[in-house]
Amino acid sequence: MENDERLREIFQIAHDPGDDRSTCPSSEALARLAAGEASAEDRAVIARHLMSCSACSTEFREAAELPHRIHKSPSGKIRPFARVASFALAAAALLLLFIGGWALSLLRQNHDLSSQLAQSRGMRPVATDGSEVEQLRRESARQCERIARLEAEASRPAAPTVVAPLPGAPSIAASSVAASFVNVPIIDLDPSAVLRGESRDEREVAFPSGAAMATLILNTRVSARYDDYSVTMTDRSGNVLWTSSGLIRSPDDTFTLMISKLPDGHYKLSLAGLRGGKKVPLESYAIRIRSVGSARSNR
Amino acid sequence: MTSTERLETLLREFPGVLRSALARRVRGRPGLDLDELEQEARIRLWKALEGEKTIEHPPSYINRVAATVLIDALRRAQVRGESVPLDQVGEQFVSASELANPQRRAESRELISQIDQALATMGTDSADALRLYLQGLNTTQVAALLNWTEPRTRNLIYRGMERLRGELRGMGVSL
Repeated sequence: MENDERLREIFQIAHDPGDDRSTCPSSEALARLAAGEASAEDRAVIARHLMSCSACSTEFREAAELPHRIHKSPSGKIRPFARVASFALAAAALLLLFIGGWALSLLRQNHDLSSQLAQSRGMRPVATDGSEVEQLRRESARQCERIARLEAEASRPAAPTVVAPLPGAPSIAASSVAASFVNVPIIDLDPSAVLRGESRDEREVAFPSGAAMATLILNTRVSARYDDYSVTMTDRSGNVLWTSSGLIRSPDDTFTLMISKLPDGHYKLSLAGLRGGKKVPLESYAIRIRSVGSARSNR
Repeated sequence: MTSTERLETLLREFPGVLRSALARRVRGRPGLDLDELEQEARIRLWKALEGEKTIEHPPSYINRVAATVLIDALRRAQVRGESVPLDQVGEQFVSASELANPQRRAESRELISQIDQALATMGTDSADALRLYLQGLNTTQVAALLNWTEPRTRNLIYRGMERLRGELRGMGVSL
């Protein structure tokens, strides 16, 4: 067994591709294979590659040894989208019941009122053929139907209107706009003092429940002026999430931008000046995005 | 429902899975930061949901995203020279110093050439299984890759290793 380990070790070192990974499969392809989701053809090709690439073999092993049995939370017995659908159905049924009941009560009310009217008018006897009462009844029924139709139309979800997305932000349906723009945090950011890649001046951007956007005000200490300014947002690993130019510098040396809510975590905003086709890094701002329970509990 | 809300719902349904899945692989590994990997995985999930992608089977999807993030992190760490997983056997870093020794390196090169010669004398199935086994995979993983049953794979590897050791001894290699 010990000899096996020695042989394996030597075999792996001999098949180390070093820095040249140009022929290696993508991490997505390896992950798919490790999860048993690759096609037979891909599996055969990648297996052949693994025989001669110890780096990919190690990565495949790491991915294959991730725990595959992922369980739901005990409370989550229904899949989220199924739960939303069943909630929507129940809400629609309740609404229909309510409108129906309301329409019936209006009909009855109108009937009573028309009877009373007819009686009050008659200090004189009600029209013997009942035509006046009948006419009022038909009219009130028509009005009730109209009200019910308008109610039904109002309760029907409108075709989603898409609001132009922010850089890197998801499209927002009009129905969710109202919820998206309430409790929007406004954060004043000073440049970070960056020390060995870790920022000492990380600023928290807390998103209260329902808020999908935040307004950030970037302060700069750089006095030099540039033709244009851009800002880039990166995650903790340095992956660029979005970049946007055309920022306007205010007389108070600030820049304003709105960002969409991102998953909780650490991010960096980098401000750059653009002049003569050159991009000059100016400032960086470290932020930590955090979701908080509700606006009230956040006080 | 916005993509952020869908992500939150998804992660609420499977609490802590990303973190616990990654934590086991990251623990004690230089160059890998658990918080960083978890955030990267969350962003990838969020992007998938943002693109209105329908996630058919959330558990496997989360797992695959975790695996992809882990592999990318290993690749980045290797490029930065912060993690050398190939030299890590068990808990010991053994080979870096050996590789620095020209004599040992030459010996290793000769040994690998002898292993290749020995493998060439075997049938294709045995040689393929042995190559994957020598790359550090276990019998279940080799079986899955070659689409064989685990007992058949185990048997081929067991007999193959016996034969390989015999061939190497015949070439004068002492193990």
